[in-house]
Amino acid sequence: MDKFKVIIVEDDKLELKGTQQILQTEVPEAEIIGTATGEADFWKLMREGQPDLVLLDLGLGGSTTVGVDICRQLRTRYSDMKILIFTGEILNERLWVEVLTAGADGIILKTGNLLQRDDIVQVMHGRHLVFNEPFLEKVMARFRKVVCKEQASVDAFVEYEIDEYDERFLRHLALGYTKDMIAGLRQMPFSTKSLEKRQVDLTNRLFPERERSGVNAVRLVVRAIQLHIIDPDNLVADEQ
Amino acid sequence: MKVKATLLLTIALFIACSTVDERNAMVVSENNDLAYRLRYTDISASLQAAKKAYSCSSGDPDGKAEALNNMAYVSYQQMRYDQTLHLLQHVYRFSRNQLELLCADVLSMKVMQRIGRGKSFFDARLRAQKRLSRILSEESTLTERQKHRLHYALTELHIVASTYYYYLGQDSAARSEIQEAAQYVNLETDTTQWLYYHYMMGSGGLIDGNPEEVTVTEFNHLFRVYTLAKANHFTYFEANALQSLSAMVADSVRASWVKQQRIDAYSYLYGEHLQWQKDSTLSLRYQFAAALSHHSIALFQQYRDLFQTACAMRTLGEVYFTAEHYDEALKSFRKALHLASDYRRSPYQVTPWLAGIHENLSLTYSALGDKLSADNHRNIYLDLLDESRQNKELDSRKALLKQEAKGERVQFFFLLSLVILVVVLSIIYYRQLKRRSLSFEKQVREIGSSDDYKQAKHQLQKLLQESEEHLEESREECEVMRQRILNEQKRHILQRTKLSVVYAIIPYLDRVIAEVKKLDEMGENVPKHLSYIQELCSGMMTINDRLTSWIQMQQGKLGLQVSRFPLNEVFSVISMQQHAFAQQQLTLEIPESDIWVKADKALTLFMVNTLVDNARKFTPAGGKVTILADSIDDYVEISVCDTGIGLPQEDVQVLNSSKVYDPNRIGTKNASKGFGFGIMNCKGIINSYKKLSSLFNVCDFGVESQEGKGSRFWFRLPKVLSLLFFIFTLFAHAMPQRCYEFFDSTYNANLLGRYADAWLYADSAIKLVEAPIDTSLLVSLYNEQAIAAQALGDWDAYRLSNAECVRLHRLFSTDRSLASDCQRLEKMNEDSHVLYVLIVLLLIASLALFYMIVLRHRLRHRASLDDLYQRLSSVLRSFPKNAETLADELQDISHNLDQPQLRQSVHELHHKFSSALDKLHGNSGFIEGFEEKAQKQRFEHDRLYVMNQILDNSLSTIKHETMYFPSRIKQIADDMQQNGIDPDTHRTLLDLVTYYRNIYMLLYEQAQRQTDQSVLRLQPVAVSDLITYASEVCNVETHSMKAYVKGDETLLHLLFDQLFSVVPEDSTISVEERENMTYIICNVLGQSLTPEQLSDLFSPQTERIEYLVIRQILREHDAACGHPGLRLVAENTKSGYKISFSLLTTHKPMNS
Repeated sequence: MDKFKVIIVEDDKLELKGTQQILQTEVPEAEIIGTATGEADFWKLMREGQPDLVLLDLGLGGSTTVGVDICRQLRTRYSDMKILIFTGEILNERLWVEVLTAGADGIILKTGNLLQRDDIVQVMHGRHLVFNEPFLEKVMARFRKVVCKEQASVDAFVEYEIDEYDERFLRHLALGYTKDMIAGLRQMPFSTKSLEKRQVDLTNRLFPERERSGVNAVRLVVRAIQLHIIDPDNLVADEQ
Repeated sequence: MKVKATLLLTIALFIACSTVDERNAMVVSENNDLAYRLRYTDISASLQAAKKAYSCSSGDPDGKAEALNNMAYVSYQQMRYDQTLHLLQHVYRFSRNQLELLCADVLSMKVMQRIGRGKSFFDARLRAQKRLSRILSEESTLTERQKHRLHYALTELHIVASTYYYYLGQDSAARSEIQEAAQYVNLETDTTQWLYYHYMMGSGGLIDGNPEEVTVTEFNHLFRVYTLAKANHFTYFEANALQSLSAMVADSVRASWVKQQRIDAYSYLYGEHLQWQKDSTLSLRYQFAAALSHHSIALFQQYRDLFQTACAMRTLGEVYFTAEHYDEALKSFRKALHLASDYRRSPYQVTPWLAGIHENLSLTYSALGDKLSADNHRNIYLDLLDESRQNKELDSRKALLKQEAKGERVQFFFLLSLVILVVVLSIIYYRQLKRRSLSFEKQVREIGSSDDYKQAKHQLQKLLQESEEHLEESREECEVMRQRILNEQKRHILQRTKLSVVYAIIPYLDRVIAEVKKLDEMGENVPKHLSYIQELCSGMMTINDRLTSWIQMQQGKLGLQVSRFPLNEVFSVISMQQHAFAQQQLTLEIPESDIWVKADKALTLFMVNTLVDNARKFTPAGGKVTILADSIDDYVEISVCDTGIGLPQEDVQVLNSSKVYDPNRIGTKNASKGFGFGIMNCKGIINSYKKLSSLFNVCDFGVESQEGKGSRFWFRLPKVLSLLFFIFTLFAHAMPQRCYEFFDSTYNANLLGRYADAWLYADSAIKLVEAPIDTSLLVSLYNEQAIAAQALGDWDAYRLSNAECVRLHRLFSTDRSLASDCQRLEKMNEDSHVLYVLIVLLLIASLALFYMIVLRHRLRHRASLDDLYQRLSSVLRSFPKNAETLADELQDISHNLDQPQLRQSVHELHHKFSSALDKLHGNSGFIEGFEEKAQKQRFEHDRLYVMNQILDNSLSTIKHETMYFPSRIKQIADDMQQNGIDPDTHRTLLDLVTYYRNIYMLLYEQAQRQTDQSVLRLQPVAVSDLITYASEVCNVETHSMKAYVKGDETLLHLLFDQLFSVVPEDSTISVEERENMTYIICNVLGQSLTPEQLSDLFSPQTERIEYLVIRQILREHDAACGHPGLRLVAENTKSGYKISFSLLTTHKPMNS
């Protein structure tokens, strides 16, 4: 790896010291051309000399999210510049999304092994979405959840013997269609009466025997959502 | 053999008699005389004679009637009252002989008296008196024999009446009756009646005077009866006299008087009865009394009078009772009851006597300690007493009727004058009616100045005023609630700020971990890294110090809101979850509890709720969750039990003894879900109670659980002394209420067997009862007191209470059959009143004519006016109950009127009310609104309050549990710096920091869980308003601004408060708008900050905590606005320094 210039933006002096140490010991190619503890300091530094990499903390001084704004402005002004977020906001997932949207090349959380040489190397080689392990663990946990949910949906279709008409019926019930309206759908070749029968049938399939009494359409739809048979995030009506 | 012989003789006589009529009449009257003479000597011989007389009397109706009367008397003596009455009916049916009918009446009275039928007694008496007056008017025509019979009937009549009154306790009436009897009594002509009279005099209660004299006189009477009866073989009276004497001797006081004054007679009797003395265990006097009774019993048996035998037996029992030989007494009483109860099945029971014997039995059983039987007999006693009551009023009523008969003539003239009067009055009435119709009309027209109207108007004014006050109160309550919410909101922001300081340690900690991990790869750089670790530790310690001093500063400032409340209030909120439980097929059982506790209500609710939630989480369908509240000593243990999956023993151990643990691991052995922070928070709350005051030393928290069976989570709170409340409620109620409570206490004490208490309670209650209060209560009280005394064996007290009970009972219970009785009596007079009826009918007819022709129309007109007026005034009077409908009602009335004048006045009335009512209605709408709002705010307040309280606990736990780690780590690092690194120390250090981080993160998350929900209420806030708020404290440079920012006004005010508490007073505020942000800048002149100060100003190392609060408020806005990048900066300027912060600019709100 070639030598490169770096500016560290970090408001806590003790932490700044640690970060500097990491760079000095693990990434000898990095030349720290300046450190800034606040927004004003940083822009002053930028005017003095342009770095290849900005190691940016999100919270500066009193503001906790000013880093997002800085990142956005940097990306607009210097599209080639590498921006790596080094933050202690280990719980604020929303902020991560914000700053990635604002153009950051990666996020390193200040926990676990902190910043490692490999992270810097990858960013300098032009990779986007560089994350350290704690971050990836969090992402993975979320990812696993989503995948499991999808699998649960597949399983539910099998377990409760849901066919496409069942799904369509439930989905439209969830959208507030009456049975007459559902019977009028093009891909629904059933009469209102047989839809009523289907609803009873679905109730019997989705509920254990002792819970069946008093189940109405709303309760049925809620159950279908709980069993991942219909996806509340993806409720779209079919064509009339 | 003897019976057979007499039977044969009777038959023979019968044959003989039937042949000759003349001789028959002789035989009949002879036998009747014989039967009469023998009735007190030998009852069966008397019966024989009577039967003989009857059999021979076919042609002699008078003799037959007399024979029947004699037979009836015998059956009366044998207690076969149904037979007696049957025979008497026979007499009534065929006899016209007034004299015999009179005798039959008198005998009826005797029967009725004995079986306790008061009304029938009086009926018979009335009949007898009427007959008597008829007979007496023809007295001169009577034969000698008939006169004799009349005298018998007369004496008997008065003696029976006297007996009757005597048993009713009406002593004066009894005395006057016996005195009446005295004038007819003659030893020569009729020995039996003479004996009867003297026996009555001797048997007690009929002589007035001082007790000693009375006793001696009575003794004299009895002694005389005894000697004479004995000499003439009047067994009945001999036995009766002995019985009464026995009772007299058994009474120590009376016996001593007799002994003093009539030692001769006394010792004579004593000598006579030596042979009768059976029971040597008794004292001499009692032996004597018992002997008299025994003799009496023997005589009665010989005479074959069952009832009197029973009476004598009872007397014997009483002797034993007085002598305290209860077993013997019981035996005698039971025998007596048994004898009398042969006649139980008959509809004619000797009710009053039975009542007495049951009382005796009750007392004896109680003396023997058999409480159950005693109560049983006492109940029967009271029931019988109830049956045989009678009313004293009767006498006066009878007198009234007599008077009426005398005044017939007077009445006639009276009636005549009445007719004239009615005519005159009718005329006057008609005139007046006319006048009043006019006045009614006037009244209706002037209803606006009537009292009813004024009253209603006054009420309306009052209502309006009240509703205004109520409105004001609700408004104020809302305002108070709003203030309290604001306080909690501010407190919450402070808590969050503290939490952010807590969080500031985590990056340092992560750095320490990373550094420690890399230590062994560092080589010659180790000292440099070690010193970095040391610096980080110092940093953490500084932050910890800040936090500590801050937490300490606020300790005790905002404590728990301790109040006194009934647990039921909390439980009723929890019971709203029933539905949620039912949906999961769980049962939630909540007790009704009357326990009051002293604690923080919102937190108690939170704790119960948390425990119930947990129980629900870990109980499978079909299970049950039960809340219990057990009052133990001075605390209440509230437990939540479930039939769930339970917890392993090691988890129970952890929950009960560890201060800090990972709650997500608890309970995971059996279930996929962990426990959460609920239990930890509950324990925290209990600890903060304990810290507050020693009153809360009883507070505790615990868990019991068995795997697979269920768990019980419990906590204890101090109980409020219930005694205080008891007294309070006692005084809060009115006096009668207290009496009833005393009665209840008495009753309960009796039930529980605390008789001494019961007696005292009853005594206090009786003292409290005053005249106008329920007599039945008093009767019950005396009854309870008697029961208590009886159980205590205090016979004197018993007698007093019981006598009072019986007296009041008689006084109280009026005989309802009397009304019909009197009606019947009056009906008898009716025949003579036919004339009056005719006159009255004539009068009525003429009045009816008058009504039909003249009065009706007048009345109708008047009635409609009256009705209108009544309706109006009733509408007005029932105000404010009909506040809702008043206007409609008035309108309705005015619509139905046909007189325009009247309609106008009603309309005016309507107008006067409707506007005020509208206002009232409007007010109540507002009040409802405010109350709803206050309710909502209360809920919001409680939510915030609980959150803050738990945060308090969490923060103090963090402080306590983790404080020492940084210094420990630093110590090890120092050690390494000096002695070099060896692998063991390195391992220890790594373990320590990892443990520290885990526990720290855990506690942080527990606290953070409370801040998940944002407390911000974002809305467009006018910058000018903010500036105005700021200008109260500092100078403002900016000209008027039109911009709006997105923010929470309350918190922004708090921000200003904080800001102005750290900057000098002469600072100025200005506002700038840049891009989509509005910057608010606070310029401080004359002083600048060092770079150190500038960079640390908003960090946990800052000198003033206020800066952190400002940062927290900004942060909250940053997170809530959804637009990251709000600025908070401190910079030095040419003339000083400035602090500026930005808020998101927004549109003007739609509705302003």
